[in-house]
Amino acid sequence: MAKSTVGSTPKLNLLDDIGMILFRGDLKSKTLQNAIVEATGVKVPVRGKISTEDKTSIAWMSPDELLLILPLERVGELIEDLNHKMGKEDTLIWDISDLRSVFEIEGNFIREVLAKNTPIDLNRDKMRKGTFRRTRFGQIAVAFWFESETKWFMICRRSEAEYAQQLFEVSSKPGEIPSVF
Amino acid sequence: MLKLVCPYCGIEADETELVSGGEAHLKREGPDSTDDDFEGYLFLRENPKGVILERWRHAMGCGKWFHVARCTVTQEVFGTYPAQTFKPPPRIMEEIKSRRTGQENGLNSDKAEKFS
Repeated sequence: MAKSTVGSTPKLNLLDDIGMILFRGDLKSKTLQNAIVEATGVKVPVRGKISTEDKTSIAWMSPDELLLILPLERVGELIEDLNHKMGKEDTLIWDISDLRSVFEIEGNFIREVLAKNTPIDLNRDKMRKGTFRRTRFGQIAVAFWFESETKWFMICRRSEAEYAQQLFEVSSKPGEIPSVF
Repeated sequence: MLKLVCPYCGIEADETELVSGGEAHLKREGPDSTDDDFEGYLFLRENPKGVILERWRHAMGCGKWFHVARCTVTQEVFGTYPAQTFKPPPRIMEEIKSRRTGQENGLNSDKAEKFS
């Protein structure tokens, strides 16, 4: 029998001390790989993945783009460091902390709430730890990943953050979450 | 529901995560072209009952354009391939040939051949 979900509503919190750096370049390049590992201590993720080390994460966005997610106060020095390490190689390193928002989702039945609004397969064997999945949440473009079953992250454009928050709240009303996964 | 595998992300993306870009492999007509050729490039599109090569964009994902070979009658997908090409790769042609004998000729990519 399905578990009761009443009283286990997951909560969405906006993280306001998160910095983000957009990193575009030739991801196969040795210079790039070395520069990133040396500057952040995190290895460059393979396709569709996110790698995390302590408080720094690197997500694979597209074949020529990475997203560095780290504490806001470290953004400035890291950009300088990366620019220096990349030398003359053609790259775009850009502080986009004000462009996107990161949410932390905590609680039980997170997969259920997300599944109401996204077309992706959220089964435990498909959406695994370390997966970074860019998709749609309601009408907006987002990306999901998780640290544990009860702690997920969602990233979206800052201008659409209010929509994301309201949609999540509506979808996670007590008593309106089915137990599926 | 149409589901396509994005050749860049390797994930099966749902139709609602994608944006259709219409016919693939168009030959671009520039300022030196005749009015007829330019009109054709701008407005005239194939509308086959059967195999079509199309452009799609993974809009809610990596944001890249890619190409798809599918059947307009059955919605069968023969495969997807990256956009940096003038013609479908051999594996796509093989797939079309094995499932739609005869229809691999006269695909909309044939028009682009002189361009490649």
